Amino acid sequence: MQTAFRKISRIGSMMGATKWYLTEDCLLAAKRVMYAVEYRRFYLRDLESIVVWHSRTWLLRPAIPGVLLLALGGLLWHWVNFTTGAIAGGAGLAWAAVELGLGPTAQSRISTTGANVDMPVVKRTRGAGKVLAKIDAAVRATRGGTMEQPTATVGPAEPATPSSQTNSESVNAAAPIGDVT
Amino acid sequence: MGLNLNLFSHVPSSSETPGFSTGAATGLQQTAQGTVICPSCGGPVTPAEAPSGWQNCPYCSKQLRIQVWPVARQKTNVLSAMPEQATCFFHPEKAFEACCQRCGRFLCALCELQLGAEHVCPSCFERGRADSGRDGSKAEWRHRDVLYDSIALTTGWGWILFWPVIVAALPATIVLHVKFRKAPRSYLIPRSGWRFWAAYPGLIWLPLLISSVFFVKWMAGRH
Repeated sequence: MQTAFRKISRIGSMMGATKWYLTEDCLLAAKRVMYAVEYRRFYLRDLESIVVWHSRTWLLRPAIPGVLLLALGGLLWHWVNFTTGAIAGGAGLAWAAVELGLGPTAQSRISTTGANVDMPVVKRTRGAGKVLAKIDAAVRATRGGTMEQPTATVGPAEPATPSSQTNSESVNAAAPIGDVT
Repeated sequence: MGLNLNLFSHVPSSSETPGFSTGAATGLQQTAQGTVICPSCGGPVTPAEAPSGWQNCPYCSKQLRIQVWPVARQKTNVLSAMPEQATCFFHPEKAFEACCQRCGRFLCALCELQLGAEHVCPSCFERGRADSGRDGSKAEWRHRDVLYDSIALTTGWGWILFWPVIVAALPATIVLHVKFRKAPRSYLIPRSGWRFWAAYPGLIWLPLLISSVFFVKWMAGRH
């Protein structure tokens, strides 16, 4: 059985990337670390909230490379010539402008029944609305039929099956279970 | 990294006060107003409607975007077993609720884990997770994949950093390709196998270049 995965976001990092997928029943985080991908599932029926906020250190992203490249440009201008210095300095300014234009990076917290997990769902806060809307639509689609019947997946408590067993320890694992369920 | 299943202990969370939603979630059934915890100061924040979708924490003024869904409670009242009633394998005092579809053990509502369309017990769940690397068909249980195609690609081109390693890189790439040629398609997120093929140009470009130089020299010498 192949489940359909719909990619909703990607967050890159130095050592790999985390991609978020939506399936019919869960939100899947595929975190790549070197040559392995680790999966974490957040079942849509368990989701309680997602909070997204601006990363505290997002201004370092444009500042550090921008300043370093500008400094390199100044040094090259002084030691080599104006053109090479201007290229390096221009690259630094362009980097800073692009980073500022893309906006703050995001952090997020996913709360499910019994757990709060801090994992970024989106890279930039400006994309948060779109991603949250997709997740919200999936949650609503999943819970659409079960909101009115919260115990639909578990089923009402059935009376004990007409069996002479009083404890499941003696159940034969190979025995057919269709009759019981 | 584990799956988020904790049916055996009650962990307090924001769900203690049932959800209050913003934005697109307003169509869902609401029971009462609720709050979420501010990630910055830890104060309770009541989600509010805002045109931009963003709101400030009333305590630390941190800008937050909050999406809340009503808590979909699963069964919480686990029935105690009556005399002569079938009981849970793990909790002998609890009433039978379902049967594990893997091992057949009787389970109570606490122990019954629904995994897709399947109901399993905690031990089968753990066993399934441990075996998921070998059992490619159970997508729900998979928690890790090793990217052999990426390893082959790195091996194929990485020898450039230290050229004598090519002696080992060539057979390693071929072995990885032959042994794991079907692996990329069986990943939870399937990939095509182009990385295996992309490793070979990395292995042959330098020998090809050197041999072509010698060939050109040899041809020039002949004429």
